[in-house]
Amino acid sequence: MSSTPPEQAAPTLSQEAGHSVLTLPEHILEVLSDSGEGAQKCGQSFGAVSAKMGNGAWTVEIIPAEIQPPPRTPDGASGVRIRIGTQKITNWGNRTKLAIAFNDQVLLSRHRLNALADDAIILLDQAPENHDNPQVRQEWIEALEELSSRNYRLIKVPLEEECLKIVDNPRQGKNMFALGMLSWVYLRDLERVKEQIAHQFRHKAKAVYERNVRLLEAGVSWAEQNLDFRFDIPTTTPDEDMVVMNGNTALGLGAMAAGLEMCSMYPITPATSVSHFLSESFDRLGGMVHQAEDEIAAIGVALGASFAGKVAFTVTSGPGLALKTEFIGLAVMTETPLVIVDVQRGGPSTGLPTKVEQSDLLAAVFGQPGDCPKVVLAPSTIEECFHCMITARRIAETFRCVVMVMSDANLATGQQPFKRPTLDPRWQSVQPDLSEVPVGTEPLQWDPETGLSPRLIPGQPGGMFTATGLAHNEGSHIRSDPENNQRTMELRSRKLAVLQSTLKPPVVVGPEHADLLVVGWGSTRGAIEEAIEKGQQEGLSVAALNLTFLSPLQPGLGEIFENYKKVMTVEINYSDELDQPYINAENRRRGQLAWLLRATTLVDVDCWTRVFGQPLCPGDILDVIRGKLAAGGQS
Amino acid sequence: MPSDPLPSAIQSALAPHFDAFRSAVAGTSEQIRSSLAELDSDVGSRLAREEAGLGGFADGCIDVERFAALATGQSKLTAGAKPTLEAAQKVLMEINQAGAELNQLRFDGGDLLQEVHAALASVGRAFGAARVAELARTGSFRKKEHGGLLKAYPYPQWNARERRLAPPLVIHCSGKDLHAGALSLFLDGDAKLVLVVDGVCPPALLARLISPGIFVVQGDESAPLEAMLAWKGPGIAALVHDQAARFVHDPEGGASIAERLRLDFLPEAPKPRALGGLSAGQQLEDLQHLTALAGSAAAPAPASIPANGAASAPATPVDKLAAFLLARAHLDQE
Amino acid sequence: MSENCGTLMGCGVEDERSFSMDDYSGPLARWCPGCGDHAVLAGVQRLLAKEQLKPERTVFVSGIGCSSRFPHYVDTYGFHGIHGRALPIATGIKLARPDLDVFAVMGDGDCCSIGAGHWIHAIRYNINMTVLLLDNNIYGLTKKQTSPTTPQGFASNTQPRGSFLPALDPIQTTLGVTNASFVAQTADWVPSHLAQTLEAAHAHPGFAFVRILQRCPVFTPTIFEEAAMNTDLTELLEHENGVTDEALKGVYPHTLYHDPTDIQEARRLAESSSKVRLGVFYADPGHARYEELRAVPKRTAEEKIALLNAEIDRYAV
Repeated sequence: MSSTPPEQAAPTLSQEAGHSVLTLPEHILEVLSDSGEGAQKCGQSFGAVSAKMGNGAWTVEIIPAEIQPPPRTPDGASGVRIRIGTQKITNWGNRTKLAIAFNDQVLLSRHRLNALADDAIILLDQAPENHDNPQVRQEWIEALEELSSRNYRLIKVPLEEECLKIVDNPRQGKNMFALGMLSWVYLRDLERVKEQIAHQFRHKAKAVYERNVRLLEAGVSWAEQNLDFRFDIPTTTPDEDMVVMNGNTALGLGAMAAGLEMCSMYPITPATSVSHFLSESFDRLGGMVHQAEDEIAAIGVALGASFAGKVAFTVTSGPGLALKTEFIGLAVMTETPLVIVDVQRGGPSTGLPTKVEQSDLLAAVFGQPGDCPKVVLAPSTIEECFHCMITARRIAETFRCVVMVMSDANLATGQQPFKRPTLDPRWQSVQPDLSEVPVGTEPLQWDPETGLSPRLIPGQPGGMFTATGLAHNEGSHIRSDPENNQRTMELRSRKLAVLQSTLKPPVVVGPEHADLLVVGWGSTRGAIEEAIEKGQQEGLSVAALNLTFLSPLQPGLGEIFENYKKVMTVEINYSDELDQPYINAENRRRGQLAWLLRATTLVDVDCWTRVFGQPLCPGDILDVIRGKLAAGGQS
Repeated sequence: MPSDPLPSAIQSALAPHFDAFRSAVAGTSEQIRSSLAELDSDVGSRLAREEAGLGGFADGCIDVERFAALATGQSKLTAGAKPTLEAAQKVLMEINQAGAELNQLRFDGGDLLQEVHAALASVGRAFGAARVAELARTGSFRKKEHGGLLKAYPYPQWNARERRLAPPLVIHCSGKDLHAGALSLFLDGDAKLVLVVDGVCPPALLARLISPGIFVVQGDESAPLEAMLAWKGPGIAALVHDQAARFVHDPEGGASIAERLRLDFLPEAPKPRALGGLSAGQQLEDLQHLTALAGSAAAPAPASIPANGAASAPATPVDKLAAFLLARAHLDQE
Repeated sequence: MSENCGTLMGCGVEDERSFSMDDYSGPLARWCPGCGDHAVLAGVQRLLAKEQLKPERTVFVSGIGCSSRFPHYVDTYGFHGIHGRALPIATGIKLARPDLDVFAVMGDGDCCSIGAGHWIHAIRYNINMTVLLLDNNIYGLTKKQTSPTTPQGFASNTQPRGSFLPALDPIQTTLGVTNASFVAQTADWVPSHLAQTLEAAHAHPGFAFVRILQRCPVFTPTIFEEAAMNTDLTELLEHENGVTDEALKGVYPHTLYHDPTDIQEARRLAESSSKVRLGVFYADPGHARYEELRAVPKRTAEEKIALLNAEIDRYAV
């Protein structure tokens, strides 16, 4: 499925009894609520059903920082954006066209963030308008006043009132009623929606399922009687089997498919849900999730297990990665294979725990004292979250090295349909071979060319050695002489060059020669590629490049960059802007990939980065591209 | 042949042992898989293997040929090993598939000794397959000499480690068919046997097997199976109907029989009939044997047992039974 | 059950090797002359030979410090880790491979200071391993800094007017942790007691914690001097389920018959006393063991793929 620019196709309008059906190539909607009212469940169900019906889909969760923020506050807004389309969808798009809000305050949050299209349809629960509390009534008036600055089509919905007819506590009913409304508006297959609800409540009593179905049906019939619009986003039947899941689930499944046998972790947002998923099923496959006492122990246990012949990985996020630093050094020094997944969040320090950022790149590549070469990969789609685990494990074992997998909060919680992976028994791990080691075999028998060496596993007679983080020789015997230290550093470093020699140059999306090349990594890929596609349609001379290998970088970057007048990165991390006080070209701190590319290619790579704690919008990137090209260089 | 479901307490005591064995079988099968993969000597299939092994993320990113050149170590195996390894793997996969069923024997009469032999020889194919695989890997497999290991690997040929690793064998049988003494042969060799006895059986079924190094348990579903299964030497348990004796002989209990044997229940009145090839007299002898052992185990010395049945009411079940036996002794002479 | 490492390979071969103490000796230990670590090393090698542990199935794990050089001097597998982190590494090894015999060797800074968090949790995990705390009451490798077990008032390079706080007692601490299963104390200057304590610890199915009072002739020569010279200052805890050292009968005048299954009494005995108490404070093999609770049977690739496909079905479009 190639992503043709959805908004180019002309919408068609048809009339049915009492309402119009507008056929569109894509649409963006949001469900917004106080925390605990289940907007995410509603939205994710809607996204999954849409994907299962054959729509392209991408969901992004809007997560408040607190577990139970106070109700009716803009900061406490919890919800989900769903972008669906006839074709494949690769990012969350620009602005929302339809929002269901369970109260006025959570809606304000999205309004203030400029997340809603000027002509958005808003379905708003009218309960606060006549609330017992005068303060709530006052807030409602003020909110509507603030919202009136835009051209929204605001429709009041008796959401709470209708739910109270079925349940005592509307907080536990509004999301299903809303799902019913959305199902009617978007012509969703109700049977599939009910299947989804059944799956969601599979651990609960049947009565719970039935109550939710009643709410769903009430939502459908209310919408049918009261709304005059419907949107048809035609579905296509995919020609291959598809699955839909979020990135953390994909990572977990990928880990199991890759034959990894132990996930040793410590809870940290937004990485933890990988272990939630694994905890349910890993042991049935002979694997284990070990929840360690802290981040340091989590990697220590993984390292110990790996030393003993089991293939282990750990999963963490920024603050946890910081704590693991010393152990990463030990893994590199002892050449013990290890896979580390970093689901990046906003930093530094505790930062924005629930929100997306790409700020750990340099920490991943360089973040240990001493020279600490390791491999860094970045999946750019949810499908790649699955597949990269297989590659990561293979590289870690072949090169006896640490492989870092850089995901982020956007991939972690977003859902996207992708081709169902065909599992291969060759991905599965095998038992360590404990046969006797030939006399004279050293534990680090480096190939002088490549630095690679076969691994000895405890249990192999004749192979006894002591792994050590101290400088050592082939025998893992402690050595501090200058020649040995220089040589062993070379050998460990060379492994990256050797891996790079097996990599192919990355493939540019768009023209081979152009005025501008936009380079990105990780989850921004969809938004960047959509932006350059639109730019090309506008006649802009622009191409895009996504890098999946960050250490070592794929070869040939310098040559590729020569074909473009300007090269810039687009990233979700912090960089100074030249128009800020004190900032000039010399002292400017740049986006992390930009640093890396400038250092390796000596090309003057520019950057545009934002740390809004949310995914980038293709429209904003397109504006940047326009600006960059207008600023000169366009021939 | 499907067997009756085991009582849940018994099932949960056995499960870890079955699982550990099945786990080792699965592990061995996986090791053979990797040996077989190493044997793909032609470049095409090696590349295909490497490409598959790297996964979809590497598509278009990694030059498989170059990667394969780094990754592939020199295989120590010769191509001739392939059919042998495959045959060994097939056996292990069959055993793995059979799961706990393989460790259960339903005995419907006939020659118990022979059937237990056959059942263990079948379990033993797992060890045979591992041996064969190893011989194949080191190039010392000779079909004539070793080929039979995959068909049956009789218990007497197992070495000490194999005996320790073997899972317990559960024998479902009818009490009337059972002559447990026949099983002593296996207990000499470290086996673990669990008899699930249906119906009436000789009351002191396992009494003859009590000897210093053997863990013997006779009792109901709450019998301490775990302890027997955890014991490092041979052990046998019988789950019997509630009219049979219940006792535990734990070799670790101490040096004297008094410390090792715990008698929980002695039946009141065994019916005088032949069971399991044992005449009523033999059954009584067994019971007498158990009583005697238990008598020396119980605090009172044998001398304290009244010499005739008319003595004052006995204080313990042991005394009671002893009195009863002595009283009846003259009636049951055959 | 833990004898195989998930395979039957190799069990067809009877292992007829036998090992002497020399077979476990690595390169010459480079501790200072007179260092108590030498005695511990000899004791451990004696244990290995006595139990005939297979060198390839034995792993010594350490952190950083003088005592953490230990794995280099034993000819088994070893992992000389990073400061304070011996226990997570040992935990990982044992979770992955219950068939391996794992020893963790730590110093007092390693275990009780930088690694204290892991120490507490490793006690609670109660994974079957032998854990040796070589306690010389000082940081030796970095040259005389105060450690948590340095006696109050003892001067060091970081607290030259004497250690400010009362010393942390590792026995008391260990006994206070939920699920502690074996706690013993011995000393480098009583080799036969050391040997017996190591044997008891190794035989214990669980996390067997042994604090070894260890003399540092360079930085803390005075701390254990009196205790080592004057047998009147020692009290031996004896029990048939603990340690009973016949060789010491008549040498040490004070012995106490202590049942190591009595945790309350063990805790009372661990409280500070005018005597140094050597022996098994607590031992109960009945505690939950994490690696046993977490053991999962292995699956063949086909089985895994079938299970995974069923898992993926849940997400099928």
